[in-house]
Amino acid sequence: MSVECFCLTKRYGRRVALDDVSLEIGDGGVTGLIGPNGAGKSTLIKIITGLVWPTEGFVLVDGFDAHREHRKAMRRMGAIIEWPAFIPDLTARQNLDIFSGGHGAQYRARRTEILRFMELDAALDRKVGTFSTGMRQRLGITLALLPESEFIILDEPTNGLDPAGIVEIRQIIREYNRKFGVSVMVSSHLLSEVEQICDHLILIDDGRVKAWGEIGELLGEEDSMLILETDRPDEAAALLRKSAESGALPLESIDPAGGKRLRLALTGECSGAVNRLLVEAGFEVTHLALERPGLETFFLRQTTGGGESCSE
Amino acid sequence: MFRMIGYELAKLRVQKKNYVMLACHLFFLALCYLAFRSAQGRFFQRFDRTMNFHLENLNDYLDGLFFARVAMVPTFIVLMPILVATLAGDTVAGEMQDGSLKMYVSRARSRSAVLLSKFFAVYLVTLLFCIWFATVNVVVGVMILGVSPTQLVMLTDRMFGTDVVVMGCGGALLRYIASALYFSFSLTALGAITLFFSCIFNRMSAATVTVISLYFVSYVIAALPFSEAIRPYLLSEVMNNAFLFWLSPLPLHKLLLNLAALSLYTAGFLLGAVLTFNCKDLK
Repeated sequence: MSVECFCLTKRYGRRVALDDVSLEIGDGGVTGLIGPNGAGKSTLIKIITGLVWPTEGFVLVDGFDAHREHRKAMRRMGAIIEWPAFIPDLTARQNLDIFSGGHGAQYRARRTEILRFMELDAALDRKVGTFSTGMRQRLGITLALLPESEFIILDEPTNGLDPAGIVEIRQIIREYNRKFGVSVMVSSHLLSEVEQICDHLILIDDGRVKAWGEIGELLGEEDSMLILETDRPDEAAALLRKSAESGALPLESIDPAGGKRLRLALTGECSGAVNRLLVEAGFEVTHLALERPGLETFFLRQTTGGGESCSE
Repeated sequence: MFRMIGYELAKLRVQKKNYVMLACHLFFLALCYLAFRSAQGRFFQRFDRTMNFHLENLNDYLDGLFFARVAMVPTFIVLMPILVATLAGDTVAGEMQDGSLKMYVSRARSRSAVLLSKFFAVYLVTLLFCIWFATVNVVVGVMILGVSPTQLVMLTDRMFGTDVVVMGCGGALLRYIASALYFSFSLTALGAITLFFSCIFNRMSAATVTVISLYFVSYVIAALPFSEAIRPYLLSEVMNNAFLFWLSPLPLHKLLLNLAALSLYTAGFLLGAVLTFNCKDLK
């Protein structure tokens, strides 16, 4: 089951929330949706789930238009958008039945199986108002999986959770994806979590898709960073720039990194050459370390460094 | 659809404000009874002076059913419209506010079915409340004041062109039940109007206040001397013409016109609500 977005644009008056977004999501893996605040992540999720009408373009969920054929499209998709807003005076059972619309013996069996997996089976007949934040999030994921979802969207599922809760949700997402083959799309600000659980990544900024593809491939395209500390950073930077301009060193940029440190963006392996050049010129190099690109670096570069859109 | 109506009823059942309304009604009745008891002698003296004819032993007619008819006025003209506007306002705008509407609509269900199930749930709850309030009015009245075999039904001269109607107990009870059912239908029109505004606004209070204001403004306009031409079509007039049931013979033509007007209000605003809800961005 897949989700295909075709030229999605959403305008609120003059403000463009999404600008010509085209994507395909869902191959049984976990896809991370990241972006700065106001980038358009929630708008994209709401358009996919049929809550918001696109100004232009359309979405196909499982081959059906998410808006014009909403019932058919959402049959095998579940989503928890923002906070799971259960009715506090009703029990977990009632909430699940009402919101999922499921009924029958098969549904009840699946509900029991998922609740057991989420360790919520003992709380089925408790009012949701008595649940902790972590329990509500797990109940939210349970709801997203009912009655027979093959693709679920979780919008900030670790919001408001303590570190133990965050680890728990991460494990649930990964385990459920591996064990039951349910595709998951997770929107999150916790880049470390996204890096740990996601196979694919969609980065949105300013309403546009800046990057889209397998995380390993996207991060592999990023340049390594060399962090060095020297007694005269400004002079060292000038020397290194001169060498880079002459082609002697494969350096893309040199930026201060606080104190006496410099951050060098490398386009090739040259840490040894940098060290030799500085030492031979009389500089004292007190720290030299190669920094492999992480999601945070990738995120910052793509959203603030004006990185060009890269996608599969 | 029936399952979805059941879900809506389950949600309405746990709303505490509905039980507060039940308690308010009893308090209301208590106040009505106190007022009734303290003013009845003076009330009939004034009435006797203004009536076109004279009745002996007016106090004999002050029984439980008379009290129920008197209590019907504030219950169905003031209390019930506020309750229905609150109920219907909460079903869309209230759920938008608390976020549960997004969770509900993002599943495999059509928006039209969602809205219609909310409308029918509001109608059923309104009907239940009408039956309950009408029954409690009668039971409380009969318990305290007993029942008289002959009923004195008082009508305002301006509205119906007559002061009083006298009828048997059974006939009065039947007309009382018919009035309560008419009110339940007229309040459904108010519910449809509230549902429409609930689809426009994202806050329950905005929808509820708008509709209650419309209702009471139409009430005030109807009382103005120059509103003769538009009065029969105003919302409050159409809603509160349940008192036609007390006339003898029953003015069927006028009653049918009222029911038709109410049906138009209901259908028109319900259609507007469905169209608005289908196009609405649930942000």
